Amino acid sequence: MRILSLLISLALWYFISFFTEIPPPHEVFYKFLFLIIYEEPILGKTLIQHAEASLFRVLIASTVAFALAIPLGIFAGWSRNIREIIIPIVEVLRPIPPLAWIPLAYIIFAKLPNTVQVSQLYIVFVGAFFPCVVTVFDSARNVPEELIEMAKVYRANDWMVLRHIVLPHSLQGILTGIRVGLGVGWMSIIAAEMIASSVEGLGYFILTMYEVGGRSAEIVSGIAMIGLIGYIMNYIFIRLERVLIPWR
Amino acid sequence: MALKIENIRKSYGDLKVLDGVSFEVREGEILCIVGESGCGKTTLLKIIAGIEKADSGKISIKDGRIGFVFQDVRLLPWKTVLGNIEFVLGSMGMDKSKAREMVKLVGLEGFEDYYPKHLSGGMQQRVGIARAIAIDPDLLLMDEPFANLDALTKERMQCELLRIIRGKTVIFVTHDIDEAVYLADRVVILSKRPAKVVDIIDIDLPKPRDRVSEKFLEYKRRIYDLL
Repeated sequence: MRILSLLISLALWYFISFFTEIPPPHEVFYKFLFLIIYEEPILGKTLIQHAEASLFRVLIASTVAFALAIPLGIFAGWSRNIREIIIPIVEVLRPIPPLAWIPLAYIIFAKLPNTVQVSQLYIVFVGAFFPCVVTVFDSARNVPEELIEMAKVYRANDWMVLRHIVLPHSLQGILTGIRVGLGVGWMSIIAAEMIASSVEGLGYFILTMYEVGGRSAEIVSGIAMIGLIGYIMNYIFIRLERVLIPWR
Repeated sequence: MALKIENIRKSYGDLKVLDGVSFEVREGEILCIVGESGCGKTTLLKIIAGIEKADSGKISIKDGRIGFVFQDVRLLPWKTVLGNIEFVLGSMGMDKSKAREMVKLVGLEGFEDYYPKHLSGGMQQRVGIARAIAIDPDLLLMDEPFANLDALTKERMQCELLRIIRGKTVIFVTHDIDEAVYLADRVVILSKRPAKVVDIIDIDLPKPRDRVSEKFLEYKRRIYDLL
């Protein structure tokens, strides 16, 4: 079935490329391999180097985002008081697209010597943080009451309930939160790289290829790389869920 | 006397659940509480366990550990058989090394590292019983522990239960008259909601009991008539 799905996509691609400026698959494939192996002359970097740059930014910013979002989500699910303070704030900020923060980020970080880079990290942070905190919160809030009652009968203290009941129950939510957060963070970095000169990165690469004269094979190669990496990240985490949650 | 309950009343809003329930539990006996489903038996157990408060009345209980076996078992799905038992030993501040011995006691040797979802309903409740016994309870509360099991498994579990809980002071709640007569030293019969004690009957038969003996059936009929 997977092979069939691939064949249909390729057929569709050929069909579309016949009527538009989009280059056909074999041409892109050739260009893609070329860009992976050789440095592209304008920016002087291979596609792999651009991907590394983008991936590096995403991993740094989303690690910080998760380090805040996971405990916050757990505590908000666990304590009613914390929930009533945090959740309204989250719900107001959450619908704002990460990119809407860019101008403000430039102002906030204007005094730093590396304003652009820090702003990009900030945008990825925003992208990764909100889906993660909401998913973790949802699972931490839905811990079965009966299990907590059982723990109370056996005189478990708050710490034990948190450590042995709330946390393991929320593990699925944590993993899903990380997976979705990374996905949104990945989309955000590509967009953020397109807006300001960032020397390297997949988004910047695509934009530059457009600006030097619509090199569509290069652009589609960049897009393919973005899709490929997003797919791999998602796949790794779905696999990880099976390993880390053996009781399901 | 291990426990004395006097005139316990409890309502949820306008719904009167317990209407002045009184009885005593003797040291080392199995006391069965029989009543229709929804008559407030579970509420009564929760009040005794201290996780619900009565509106009025008095409970005199020696300080000590209370084990609780739930109808819906309530194992932690992310902990193994052994892990579930170790959890309550930990929460009660007791030595965890006893857990293995408890697994053996309930006949689950070899299943120590299984997760609950890989166990049958009967085996899960064995873990529930092992967990409650592990803390060496001064009082063991059992809330219809076999209600969700098939008839054969249920009878086997009742038979084994007598061996496992020998010598313990037990309050066993059920709506199954056969189960009550098979297990109990005394049976407390509760009325329909709001619950009151209708009668308390001594079951004066040696254990293990023959479920189809004349006397056994006589006790069953007597309780049936009172309900």
